[in-house]
Order: sequence, then structure tokens, then C-alpha cells
Amino acid sequence: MHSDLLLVIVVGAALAFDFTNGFHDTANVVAASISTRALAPRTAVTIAAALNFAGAFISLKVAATIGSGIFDTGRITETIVFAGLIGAIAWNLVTWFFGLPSSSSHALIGGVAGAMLAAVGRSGVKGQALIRTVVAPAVVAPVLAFAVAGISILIVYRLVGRRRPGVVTDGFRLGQIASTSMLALAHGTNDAQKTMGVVTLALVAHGSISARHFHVPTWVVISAASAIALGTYAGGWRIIRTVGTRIIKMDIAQGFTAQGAGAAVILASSHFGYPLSTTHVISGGIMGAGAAKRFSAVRWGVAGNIAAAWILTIPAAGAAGALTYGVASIFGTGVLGPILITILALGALGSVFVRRGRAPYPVHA
Amino acid sequence: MIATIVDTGTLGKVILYSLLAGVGVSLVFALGVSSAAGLVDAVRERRTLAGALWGLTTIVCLAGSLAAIVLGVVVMSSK
Repeated sequence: MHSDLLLVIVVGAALAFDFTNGFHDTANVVAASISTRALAPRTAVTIAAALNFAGAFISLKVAATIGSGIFDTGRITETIVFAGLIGAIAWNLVTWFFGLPSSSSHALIGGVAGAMLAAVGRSGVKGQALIRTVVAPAVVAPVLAFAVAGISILIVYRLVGRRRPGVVTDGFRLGQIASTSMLALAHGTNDAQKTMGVVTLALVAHGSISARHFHVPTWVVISAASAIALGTYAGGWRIIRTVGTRIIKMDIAQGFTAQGAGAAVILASSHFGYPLSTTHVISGGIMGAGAAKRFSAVRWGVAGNIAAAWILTIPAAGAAGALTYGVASIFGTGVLGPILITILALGALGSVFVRRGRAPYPVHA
Repeated sequence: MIATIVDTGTLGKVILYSLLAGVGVSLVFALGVSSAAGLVDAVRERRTLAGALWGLTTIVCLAGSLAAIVLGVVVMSSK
């Protein structure tokens, strides 16, 4: 009975994380399109939500490998997963509150790593694997996207600079709609699978699924796809405003280049099994598209705040995950700790949303 | 030391192919947009041969862009 209740709480926390992942990362997909007026805000998030949902059904291969390589999966318990999810949700909400784009995947890995360290010590987390699969790509992604978008925008300006603006604007508008759609599909495929993997791991730990016959149940796929799509539709408008208008004042060619080159970088790196964070790629791409036109066009103070959030993501989510595990373990290994933390978290969430309300649609650049 | 932690071979491929794909997609699409603008100008000025060449370039670039989208979906589904 206690084990069943704990499973329900873990699944609920995973879907809540999936929702925050959707609404936190909406900006990566739609901010440039909204900023350049290629798409109206509500149309953009509707397309993004629909394609996030569809993307979740494209592949299930990543879901089967979540955490393998970084964590000693044999020692993961439902309480550790729960604490990691709470840590990731907390960091997603803090960065949303300050309008800072940060990687939800890194928050999840950081949260679970922190809870794992608190629960079983350093032997539970493989440091080299963490650097190889998370830290190194986090350094590469923004620099690579910056360079690709910078080179691309110089070529684009050279090709269309002397053309009549009407056809050019319409053309890049179509290009932005296509690149927005590709990014949304890729985001649904990548990120919904992480939640599916976490829920399936909890089902294995609970004994509902045999570890020898690991598969993702259909209800897990549908619920993860729905949660990320709902989160995307809700729209993290604070982050959309930062990415769309505060880093650079974007023209439609820059918007297309940042998104188009960004999508190409994400998919090219995925092909080699070297997944880069969508957040890092798109933010780096926007900075590159701005800096290539004029270095001072980039608001480097905003860029610095974003970089600081990226550096802090894993340690901060880890600290929140460790703290959550520590508090839960005060009440023993049962379900009481997670129940109390869930009630506390829901109360804190409610008060934040009531006091701050939802930010209005972003102002166009 | 770095090579033991970071897979430099894969990283090199990622950088090369990301540059090729990112710059390539932008180049092909922007060439298509530029050609479409050239086509509109040629039609307006009744330059038939130039219009046909701009139209052909537009179609080729559009096909290239659509092929990139299809390739992207294939990469996503094969992960």
C-alpha cells in the first residue's frame, strides 16, 4: 500500500517536471518566431504544443537509457527519483521566475545526482561520465551554435541584402515556421522521453515492470506527451521575452538563422549520439546571429546572466535534490516524507502563481 | 587528460557536421529566397530567360530545404 502510494507520488512529480520542462523550454522553440512576428504568440505555442505531443511518439530509444552510465542505477530508489525531480522542478521554477533560459535536462540530472550523493555517497554518481555526457556538451553547444549562426547570417545577408524586402520577408517567415516546427518536434522527441524513462524506472523499482523486459507502457507515453504539450501551451512568457527580445533585437533573417542553424546543429549532433541542449544551442545561435551583424548588438549583460544560470544549474538542482532527500529521510524510508514535501511544494507553487500571476505576452522586438 | 574524459573524435565530427549542416541549410534556403525575389523581379520586367533560371534555382533550393527537413525527421526517429 505504502509502495503504491509512493509510486503515485513519483509519477505525479515526474509529470509535474515534464510540465515545467514544456513551459520552460517553449522559449527555445517559439521566441524567435514571436519576436520577428513570423507567428502570433498563441499560434506559435499552439503549433509548438501539438508538435511536442507528436514528437513524443516518434522514438522511445532514449527513454530506455535514462541515467544509465551516469548513475549506479541498481541503487536508485523511488525516494531518490522523487527528490531529484523536486530539485529539478525547483530550479526550473527559479530560472523561470527570473526569465532565464536553462537546460531542464541538466536540472533533472543535477537533481538526481544531488539526491543520489545524499543517499548513497560519491559511489552512486560516475563523475567522469557526468563530465563526458553533460558538462563537455554544455561547453561545446553555445560556442558551436554561436559560430554556425554567425557564419550563416553573414552568408544570408550577402545573398539577400540587395533584394526587395517583401519576398525576402515572406520567404524567411516560411523558413521560421518550418524551423519552429522542427525544433518543437525534436524537443518533444528528446525531452518527453526523459520523463517516460523516469516513470518507467520508478515502475521497475516498484516491481510493476520486470527490469529484464524493460519497455515503456503506452499510458506512460501518452501521459508524458500530454504533460509536455500542456506545459508548452501554457508558455513560459518570461523566458520567451528574454530569448526573443532581450539578448538581441532580432530581424527576420537573424530569427531564421538562429532557429534553422540551431535545428541543424541539434540534429547533426544527435546523429552522432552527442546530444546538445536545445536551450544552449538556441541561446548561442541568437547571440551569434546578433554578434556577426554588430558585436555590440548583443546585450552581453543579459548573456552573462544566462551563462551564470547554466553554470549553476547542476549544482543548484543538485543541492535542492539533496535537501529534498535529506528532509524526506527524516521521516524514515516510507511515504510520509514525500507526502509532506509534495504538500509543501504545492503550497509554495500556489502562492508564487497567485502573487506573481502570469506574465503577459512578450513585447515584439 | 582531456582525451580520456572527452571523446575528441566524436566531438570533432559533431563540430564538422554541425557546421556543414547549419551553414548548408541557411545557405540553400537563403539562396532559394534570393532566387524567388529575383524571379519576381524578372517577371515584373518581362525577362523570360532570367525568370526561368531564377525559377529553376528556387525550385532546386526548395527541394533541398524539404530534403533537409525529411532528413531531420529520419534522424529524430532513428535515435
